Amino acid sequence: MKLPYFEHRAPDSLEEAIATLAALGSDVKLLAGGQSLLPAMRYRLSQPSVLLDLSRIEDLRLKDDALRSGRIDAMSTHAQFAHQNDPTPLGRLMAAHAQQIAFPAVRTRGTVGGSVVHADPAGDWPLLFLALGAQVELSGQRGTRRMALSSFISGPMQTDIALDEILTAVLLDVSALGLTHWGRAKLMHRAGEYAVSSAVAVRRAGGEWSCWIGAIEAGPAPMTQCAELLRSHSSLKHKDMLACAYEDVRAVCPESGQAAVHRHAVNLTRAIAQALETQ
Amino acid sequence: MNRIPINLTVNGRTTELSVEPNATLADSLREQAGTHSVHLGCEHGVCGACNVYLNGAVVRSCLTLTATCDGMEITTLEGLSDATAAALKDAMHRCHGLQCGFCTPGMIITGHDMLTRKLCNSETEIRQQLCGNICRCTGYQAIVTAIASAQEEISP
Repeated sequence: MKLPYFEHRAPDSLEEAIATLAALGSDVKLLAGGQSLLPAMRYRLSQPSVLLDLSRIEDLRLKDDALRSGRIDAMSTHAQFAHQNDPTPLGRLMAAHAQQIAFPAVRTRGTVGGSVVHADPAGDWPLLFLALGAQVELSGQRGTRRMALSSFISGPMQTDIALDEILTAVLLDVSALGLTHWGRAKLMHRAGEYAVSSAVAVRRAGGEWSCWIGAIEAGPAPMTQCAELLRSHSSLKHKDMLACAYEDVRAVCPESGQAAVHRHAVNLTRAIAQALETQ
Repeated sequence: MNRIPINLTVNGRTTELSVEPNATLADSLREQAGTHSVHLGCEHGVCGACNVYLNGAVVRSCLTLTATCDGMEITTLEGLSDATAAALKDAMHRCHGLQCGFCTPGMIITGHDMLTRKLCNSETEIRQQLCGNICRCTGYQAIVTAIASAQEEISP
């Protein structure tokens, strides 16, 4: 279907965008890359009267030192991370992760901020940034606040963003910037589709492990027993890791059938195995 | 309705358009700029028939608002005139890389992009890069063969 009618506003500065947002309230929807919003509007799942286009705001675009400063501006695109050659473990993890998001042409336009605010349970950036313990920065007429991404995402496609707020950046701390080990695994029916199972395992600079799975109904969830097992054992047998993954997965999706639990558990152990290979 | 003045460079030619806010780049290119190689299959970003170059990177023109493209450069199949494009078009013909031809403009844009960026060094890589383009006739094998053949021709 063709897009319904709306008004297009494209401010040049964040201040102007915030003022417009405050003035228009619930009539407005923020347009980042539009790769999920525009299809939703075609299907009339969303019918905003105004689209507030963030693409002209220089402040929201990716900066060269993002992987050193830990500030990932909201309008950074998937393609920018897929094409970067940063040699650090974090840089390689971000590249590998971005290279498997949707299709090449979608990566050109799709943004990190859009993906985080969309909060699809199978979304790629929410999963990765949760595993990295990221924070989000939200700006509005009432000021700027920061909160943990794990608190920001409150459910499938649900976040704590207020009507008058814009997500301006995802923030990574030094433990994420200096991560030493990483692994990720994603299962899709067809390359480029949303994951049917997705897992990330990282060892942060302080030595702490973090394992998360996505593409489950409630949204990404931490696999705490696996992280604990990795922390407390220096050498691990595959079957012990898999048994632990089973327990963790069952705990977060008790309603799921055996096949789904198996799929998530095996996929998680693949991510962990990849993370351990770099040891 | 409010119309927005937009300047585009379409295949090297400066074009001044007046578009409605909800016009997509695909619709503007087809209806106003006359570049009918831009095909609309699914209109929600799945099929890839509407792929065009926007400022040198491939995008879905059905998921891009024309209003967001002021001052940008667009290249469609009509504007692809380099040696890579010639080799790819020739290979598509030679290897039977099309039947009905509906997906072909998008396939050639995607193929041209992967050939230019040297992202087609194996069949697996070609298939991965091609994942966002749907063809309902060929079963893809002939298209993959055509891209591999064009790659050999360009850099043997």
